[in-house]
Amino acid sequence: MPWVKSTTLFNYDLLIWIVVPVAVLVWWLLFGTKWGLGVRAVGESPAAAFASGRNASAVQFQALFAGGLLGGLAGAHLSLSLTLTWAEGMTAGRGFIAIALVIFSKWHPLRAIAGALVFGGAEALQLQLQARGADISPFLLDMLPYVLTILVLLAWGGSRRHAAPAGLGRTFYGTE
Amino acid sequence: MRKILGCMSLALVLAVFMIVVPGFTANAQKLVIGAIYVGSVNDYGYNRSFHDALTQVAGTLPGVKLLEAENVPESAEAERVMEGMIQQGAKLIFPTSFGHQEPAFNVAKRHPDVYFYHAGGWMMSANFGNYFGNTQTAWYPMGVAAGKMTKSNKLGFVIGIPIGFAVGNVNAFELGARSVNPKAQTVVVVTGGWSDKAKEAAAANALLDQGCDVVAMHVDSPATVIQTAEARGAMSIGFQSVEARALAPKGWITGLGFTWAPFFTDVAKSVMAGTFKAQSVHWGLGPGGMVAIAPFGSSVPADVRKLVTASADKVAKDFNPFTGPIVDNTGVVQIKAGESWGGDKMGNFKWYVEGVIGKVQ
Repeated sequence: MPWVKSTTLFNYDLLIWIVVPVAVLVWWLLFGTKWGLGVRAVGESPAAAFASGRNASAVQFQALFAGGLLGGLAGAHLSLSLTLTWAEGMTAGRGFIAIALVIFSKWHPLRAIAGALVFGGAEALQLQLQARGADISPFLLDMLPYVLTILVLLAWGGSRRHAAPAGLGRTFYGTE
Repeated sequence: MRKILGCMSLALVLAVFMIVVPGFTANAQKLVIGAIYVGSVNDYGYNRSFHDALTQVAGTLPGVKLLEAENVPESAEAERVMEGMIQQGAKLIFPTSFGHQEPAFNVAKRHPDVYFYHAGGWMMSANFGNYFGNTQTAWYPMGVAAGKMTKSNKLGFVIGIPIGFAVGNVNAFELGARSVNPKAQTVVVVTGGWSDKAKEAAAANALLDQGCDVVAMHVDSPATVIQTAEARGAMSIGFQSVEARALAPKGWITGLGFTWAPFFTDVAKSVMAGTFKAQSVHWGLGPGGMVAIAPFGSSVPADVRKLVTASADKVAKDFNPFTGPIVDNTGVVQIKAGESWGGDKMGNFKWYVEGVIGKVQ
């Protein structure tokens, strides 16, 4: 039997390598381009952006499209590369964790990189700890990602009251 | 006016055909069987084993029609699906997931003329029985295979939820491995759910990172664990369905699979003959049993195959690996000398045997 490849470190497929560059690209798009300025403006106040001549609905659609594209890539990776199978409900609630990650990173893509590493790393860590024979109940270890999230939020959370874009969740109907 | 009349009469003729004609063809059928699965039948695992067995029954018994529903959640939605099957004439229903038990029992109460056999539960009534395959002792020959094939003496085991039956599988596995390889250790990683594929991949990777060169599993589908091991050059032992061997052309050693067809055939015949009896049926390895050993992989040498087959024959006859003295991995004697744990105790395991690296709770 051939030797077992001893680690997956650096044995990644293409999509994992482009995760951080894509996050940096999104940061640049949002904070370094006029289009990104428009997206942020529409996010804060679609009415004001509309009054300044932007097509708020079009911008929202474009942002949704980009988000959907990235979400689809993540899902495709989960099935095709990570688990090598497909099953109904296989995301197992990780989409909601991604929403928590957005709030945790105060809607900033670069902070999201750190947050994603913490969230994802904790989930992998508890399984690694089990494999190393940690003398901790697997039920307690299963709580680790969520406990870690709470601790990190408490330590580096800061005030989130004004972090969300003001126009989030509100539907803009255009001219009345 | 003529057009309206024409359309109405066409509709009437169509309606008559749709109601009367199926009534005629239904008489040619002797039995409609309904089956609900919690996942997809393409999982090379738990759900596939039921699908394969029922397809076999429908193919061998004349006049049997099979209705199947995949991805049926373990909730009141399952009742809806089963009711729909009864409306289509189903007289024998197999709810195949543990969590389908209560919904199925509710439906059974409303339809005393429809028969149910539930996999893995305990509820019973005049038209509701339960069954499952005894897998624990069958894992002993799997351990023998792994113990002989491993070079690192570290075996990995991914389990979903550490219920007594899963812990028992691990224990038999380690006992079998130790019987041929006193240095063999089994490392256990618990994912927390029967079907969380991303965690299964991470768990398999964690085990391989720790030097395990054989992985086994007790989760709904062995696909992710086996493929992860195969990609990293490790060997695998499958579970749930013998078809899983297709996923590991190089690393497959052997595996266990459920063979429900003999039991399903008996039940279907009893329904057709009007002699249905609701029981609690638990069969294991052996001809006509509910558990079978998968074919060996190409890399398994002839002497190992002989050893494993001999061990399986022993287990199928009367050998019980859970015979004392058995010490757990904290040094406590759990089964005293002279004692042995029979089939009724397979759900009671709250400890791992010596040689297993892991904690149950």
